[in-house]
Amino acid sequence: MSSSAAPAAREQSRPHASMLPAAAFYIVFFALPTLCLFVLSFWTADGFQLIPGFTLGNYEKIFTSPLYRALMIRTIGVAFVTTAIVVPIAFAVSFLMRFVFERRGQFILQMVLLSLFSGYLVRIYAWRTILGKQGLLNSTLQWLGVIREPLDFLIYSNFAVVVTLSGLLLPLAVLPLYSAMLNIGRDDIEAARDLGAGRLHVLRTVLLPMAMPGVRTAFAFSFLLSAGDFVTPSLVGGAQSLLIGNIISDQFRGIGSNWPLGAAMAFVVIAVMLASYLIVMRLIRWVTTW
Amino acid sequence: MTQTAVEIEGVRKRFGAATALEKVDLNVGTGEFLSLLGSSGCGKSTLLRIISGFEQPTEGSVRIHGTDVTRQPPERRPTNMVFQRGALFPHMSVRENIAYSLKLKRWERSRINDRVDEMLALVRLEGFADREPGKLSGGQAQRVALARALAGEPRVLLLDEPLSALDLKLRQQMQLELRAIQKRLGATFIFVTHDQTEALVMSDRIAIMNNGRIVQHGTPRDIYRRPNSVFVSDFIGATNLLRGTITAVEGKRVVLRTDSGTFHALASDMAVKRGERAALSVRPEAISLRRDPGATPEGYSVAGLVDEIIYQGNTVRVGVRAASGAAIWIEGRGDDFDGLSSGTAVVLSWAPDAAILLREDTE
Amino acid sequence: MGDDMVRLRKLLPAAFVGAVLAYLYAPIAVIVIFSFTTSPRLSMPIEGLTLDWYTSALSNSLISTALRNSLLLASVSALVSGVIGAAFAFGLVALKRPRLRASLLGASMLPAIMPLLVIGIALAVFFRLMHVQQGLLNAAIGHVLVSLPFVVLTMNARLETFDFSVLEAARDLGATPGRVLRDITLPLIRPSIIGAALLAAALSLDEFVVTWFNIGSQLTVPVLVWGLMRRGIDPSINAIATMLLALLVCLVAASALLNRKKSK
Repeated sequence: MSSSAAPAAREQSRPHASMLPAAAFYIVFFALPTLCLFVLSFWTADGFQLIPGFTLGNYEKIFTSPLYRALMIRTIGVAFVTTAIVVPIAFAVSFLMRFVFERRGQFILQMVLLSLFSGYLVRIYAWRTILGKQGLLNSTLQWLGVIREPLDFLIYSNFAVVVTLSGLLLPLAVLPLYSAMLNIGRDDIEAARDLGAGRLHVLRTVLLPMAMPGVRTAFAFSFLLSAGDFVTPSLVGGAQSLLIGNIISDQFRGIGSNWPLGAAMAFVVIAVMLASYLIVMRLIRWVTTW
Repeated sequence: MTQTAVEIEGVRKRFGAATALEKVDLNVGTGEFLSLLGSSGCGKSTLLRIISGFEQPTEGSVRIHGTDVTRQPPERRPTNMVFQRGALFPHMSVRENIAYSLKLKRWERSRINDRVDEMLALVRLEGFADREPGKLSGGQAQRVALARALAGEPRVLLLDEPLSALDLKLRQQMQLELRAIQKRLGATFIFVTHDQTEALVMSDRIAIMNNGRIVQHGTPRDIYRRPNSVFVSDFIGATNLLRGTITAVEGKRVVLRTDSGTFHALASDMAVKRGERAALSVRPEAISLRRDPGATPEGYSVAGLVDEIIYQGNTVRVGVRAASGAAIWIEGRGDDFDGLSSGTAVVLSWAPDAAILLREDTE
Repeated sequence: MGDDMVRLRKLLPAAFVGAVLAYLYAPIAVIVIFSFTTSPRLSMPIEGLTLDWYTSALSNSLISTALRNSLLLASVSALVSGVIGAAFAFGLVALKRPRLRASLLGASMLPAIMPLLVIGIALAVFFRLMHVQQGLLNAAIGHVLVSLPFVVLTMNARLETFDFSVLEAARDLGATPGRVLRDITLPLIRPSIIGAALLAAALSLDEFVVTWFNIGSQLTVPVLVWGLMRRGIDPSINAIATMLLALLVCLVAASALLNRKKSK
């Protein structure tokens, strides 16, 4: 029947030639540069001169320096907290858009996505003006007489970094979660409820497992991207809340730059983040199947 | 048969490790309506796509009116196709759709317009020329697709289950219309379908396909009356099969011993030997039912108890269970079976030429 | 009591989603509002309204250079990633084997989950090893790389419903592959390609991180804004940012409209 003819129409078992330009672009400007970065992480630098070679010295420096270790731990912490805020909120918003707002959910989705394209630097900067010592929040609270002295923790703190990053990453997390929700039918939930499952049970045994691909992508987005951001900490984090991304970027555009060391740091960050990501995914799967 | 329109010779098609077609030979006569009939995955669509040029055969050749087109791309072949779901160009009006192949042939504008009007009249859609395809019903869309495919006067028209997406009433009406158009134009039609009734109603000839082979071809009447295998007799219409072992062969007459008794049968055009396994096929409507045991023709009857009576409107189906446990179905007009009820003892009998001997399928 | 419960159950989701939208849009609103207020400090209460920050922003001699570069990069990245991304998605959707299709789609998404910092420095290293001077070309390549996954993703979603049999129908009716592309494929997917390209333009206009590591001493609007931000609070930042926002919103809205039209 339809199965005999439908696939025939798009029968292409080998990739089409039209995929070549983009594939070539990815290989030359994404895969190859990443490989270059990896190779460079084993080189050394003398001033601005790059010296080819093979040394693990950069990696050794990263793992033995207390400063880098502290930064790495803080980065993981900030990434975790941000993700722990972003993914549940995005999950809830996606759920509501899908099952409560239904048609209007599309409009809400458009609004959420629009914010994704409305000025990356601008939004970070805006949070500085909101959270600043004499910023909007403090001045409003003082004007209203709620507080006398400005609240210190609002700006140049891990708090400021997490609030700002969460705002940046939330739309990115909604995108995969909402499309995962679209694959869940209302009847899937109703069937579970009908069989006597409580709300929490439905969440754990129906919603979470079925939305798992979306959760995984949302998690990857917010976890990996928050670990790699250096603009947010440098604008709202201040000296106390620098993250590893700031140090990496300094190795490439700072005064005492050291490209090979920066390259090694980048790979350590990616490795640590991927490992943490896999551990968390395993944990989630364990919770949902148990 | 008149001149040959399509000659398919030794066509084999593999997709990677899977074989879609297994050495197919088929000739289609000019002006013939041929159906390729089979269930999904039997290779009928692949064969059609090889004729149209969308697939290349792994081996073998395709000739159209004597010209070898095996290596020609679809746009150079004198065939046109009606697709399963129309495949109308959504950004063009009905007129532009029908005119497309004529524009490619660089016809003059006035000649194109005349031809489009002629085609619209043929499919009874005058007045629809400026519609968008998106605003047509399923049946109208398929008519436009037919008009589009016929506009360029193809030597062979290929139809890939064009009616399968329509509902039953419309499908039956379109079957008759298609048949009438084909007769009027005297064109060669190759029609792919999985619906046996459709094939029986429309075709001059039917080729039944199974597992990448053509297992039988002939007129609808031949195929229905003289199926050459259990597969065909089961696929075309309903049938009763009694399986057993051949105990005697006298010319075309064969004696078959089954669990339900010993029967005589006609071995139409196959060579059979004693001791072979075979099946006896009797169509439900060829069986008559009597309540009195009386004189029953030896070898052409079986006794049993009525099991089920299914009312189907103009006909009634009765299921009878033979002493051996085998279920045999009979079909007839409603009043033939008045007074029957479950458990009634009956005798079933049939005419000698209604019992066909079939070889068991070997796979 | 029961009515209140019902109302609460309807109100709670709306309040929650409203709060989330407020969280997303508060920063944007703040920037826009304070681009029009007289006080150089962003604080309450608001004293008066002015357009001074716009005049001072527009009189900044660097801004026209930055804007020109930004628009150039946006056009290049719209064109290049629009075309090669659409072609890639087209081939992807036509692919029969679902697992191969899924893994190729996944692979094409990799630059989107890679931190921009890493993409930026990797490209910088690559160009340095290839002895290519930093500059606009490097930044343009970075922009295409950053927008390509989004173009592929949106095109892929649009093309999922594309009926490939119309392409075969055209071939069957006598069109060569080139004619099919011109008569059928392009007219049918053009709105989606333009939509995706506008998205790419928006991403490019807003791109900072990859640009920062590859553009050398050249300026784009975000690079200029970054410089101003680092120097402290300058109200003309709000004005520039608001103009950039307006441009981005137009692009994204146009993109969404084009995609809507296609899906009708």
